[in-house]
Amino acid sequence: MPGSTSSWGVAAITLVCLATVAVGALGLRLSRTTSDFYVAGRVVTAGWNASAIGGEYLSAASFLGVAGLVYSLGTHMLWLPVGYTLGYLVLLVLVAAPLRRSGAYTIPDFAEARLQSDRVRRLASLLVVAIGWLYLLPQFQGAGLALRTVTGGSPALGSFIVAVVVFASVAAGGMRSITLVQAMQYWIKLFAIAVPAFVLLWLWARGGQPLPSVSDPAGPFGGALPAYATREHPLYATYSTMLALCFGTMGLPHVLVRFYTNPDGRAARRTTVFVIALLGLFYLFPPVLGMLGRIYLPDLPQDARADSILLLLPSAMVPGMLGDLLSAVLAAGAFAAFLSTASGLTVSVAGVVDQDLFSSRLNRRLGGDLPRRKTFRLACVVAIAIPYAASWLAPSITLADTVGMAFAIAASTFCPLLILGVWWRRLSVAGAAAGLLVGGGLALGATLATFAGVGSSVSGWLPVLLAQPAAWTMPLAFATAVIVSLATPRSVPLNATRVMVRLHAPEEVTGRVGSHGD
Amino acid sequence: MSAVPGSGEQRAATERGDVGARRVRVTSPRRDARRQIERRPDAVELTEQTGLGEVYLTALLRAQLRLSLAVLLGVGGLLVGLPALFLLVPGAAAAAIGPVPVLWLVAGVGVYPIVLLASRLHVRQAERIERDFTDLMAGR
Repeated sequence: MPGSTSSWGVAAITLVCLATVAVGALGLRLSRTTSDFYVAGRVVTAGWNASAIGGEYLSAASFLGVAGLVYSLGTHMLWLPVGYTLGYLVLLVLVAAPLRRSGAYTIPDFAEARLQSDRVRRLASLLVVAIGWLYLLPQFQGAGLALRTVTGGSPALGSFIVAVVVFASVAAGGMRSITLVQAMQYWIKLFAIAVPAFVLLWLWARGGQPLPSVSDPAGPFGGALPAYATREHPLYATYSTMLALCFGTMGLPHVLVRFYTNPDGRAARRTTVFVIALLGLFYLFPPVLGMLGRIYLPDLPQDARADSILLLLPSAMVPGMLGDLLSAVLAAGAFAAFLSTASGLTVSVAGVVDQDLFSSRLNRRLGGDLPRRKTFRLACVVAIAIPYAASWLAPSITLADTVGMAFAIAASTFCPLLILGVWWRRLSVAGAAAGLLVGGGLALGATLATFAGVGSSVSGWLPVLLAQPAAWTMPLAFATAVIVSLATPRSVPLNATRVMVRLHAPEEVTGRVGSHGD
Repeated sequence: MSAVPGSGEQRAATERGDVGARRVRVTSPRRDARRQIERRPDAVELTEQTGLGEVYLTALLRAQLRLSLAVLLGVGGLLVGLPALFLLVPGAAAAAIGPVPVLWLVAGVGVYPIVLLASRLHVRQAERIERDFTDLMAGR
């Protein structure tokens, strides 16, 4: 229950935070022994790399949000983790190997390599920051929620802890993203959700409680679990969300960075298959816990949010020490989720802020010799402080919904840029820029309108269209990019064919085996 | 031992050589093709500059894109079709194995192996297409 104090919870959260900083420091020392950190990427096996990708990807939305939504909205929400996993299938079949072969470290890098345009690069940088901040927001909110639920501490403290630990590890590690920490976080998360799930399932089987009854056969997946809260137009919302998750994953700021540690395009593909296996394994558990929540906590306790159902469940099933212990394990896993996703995002956002928006300007103003390390730290402060402050002001939209909007923006901006960039030689600079502007403008506008509370004043289709915009913003962005490109054949970059060869031809042919970023 | 430095090493090397001689290296022609290509960087030139390179690139792009779309449509069709199945077939939504509804098993468990299989299939086929392309370039 909110307000109850648990020393187990405090201990578990402290342990995860310390382990993150300690392994981060260790990884830093290891990477310092090699002259170039990226060389270390070549000896990172597909398994480790995939664990790191999974570790960074499984955020507050996956750990707490999925269970919360299955609890409050029923089986329709089983789609959500499927969508998160499918995002990697789409990434695999459409962009994984070409992106690695492009040698790009971030999406702005790709935009520049493919289109030779500083302007598109700048635009992509701004979008990386916007998506990154929107994605960081629920990580801070989730941290506050988890700390309050498990220990009774103030929510302010929870998000502050995450902000400080993330700043410490990212600012110390600099631009080197630390594979070791992220890989460890995946296994912490899997352990922290699987063990409580098995214990609680065993208790449920022994207790002989029936499952929630199957009654109302409406909705996209039948009504095996009728929703508590109902949403308007659930079919549209489900399909639009799925579209955002499937096509947004490839455009998330922290995903591409991780693919860079693969030695070549073929390894990038194989790693992605591993990632899909690891994600599928993890996503078996949150829905199970959400459904157990429906049995043992038929009414959500006063002033608790559905997002905290995972943490409330153990005490509701087994009051006493075992319940507290399981809650603590779950809270530790949730913190691992906040920390890993937040640091991955912070590295990406701070990198972009530093490189494209900050460094040159600061240096021009201050005479040009500010060390890189210092400007990067400054960029880290900006990258963390703004979403941290916003996590106070933003209304409490569920964690998974906020993350869903970040996916929708990525699907409406970077997805067209990447897919057309990889597969279509006639993409022009003007077309790419127009696609980013239209998709980004519409999706961002829809997100801001939803945050501003349009849903509470208007009913019908409008709030649904604004809350789940991907189904209309993504096709519009694609159409804009294609039409403008066809209308401006002169702004197609001259070396488009050469770049396309580099993206698609195997490394043996282009003679760039294991090359890193040329 | 230390009186004749290197002799031990030499002997070991000969032994290793013997072992190597007795071993039969089994390589596929494709592997040889790959090695050949490394000695022929003009393949790069070809793909980048000439009209023939353009033709090869187009063929590679088409083959990969066709594969990608096939995988996406296959998995996508399945996932759009499943809800329809549960919605349209009477009783499907209520069917259960023991206490657990089939619906949950399909959406919560069964989907993942399918996605994993589809991704493995894609990787295998995509690598085959790339090998064929490499062979083609080496044959030049």
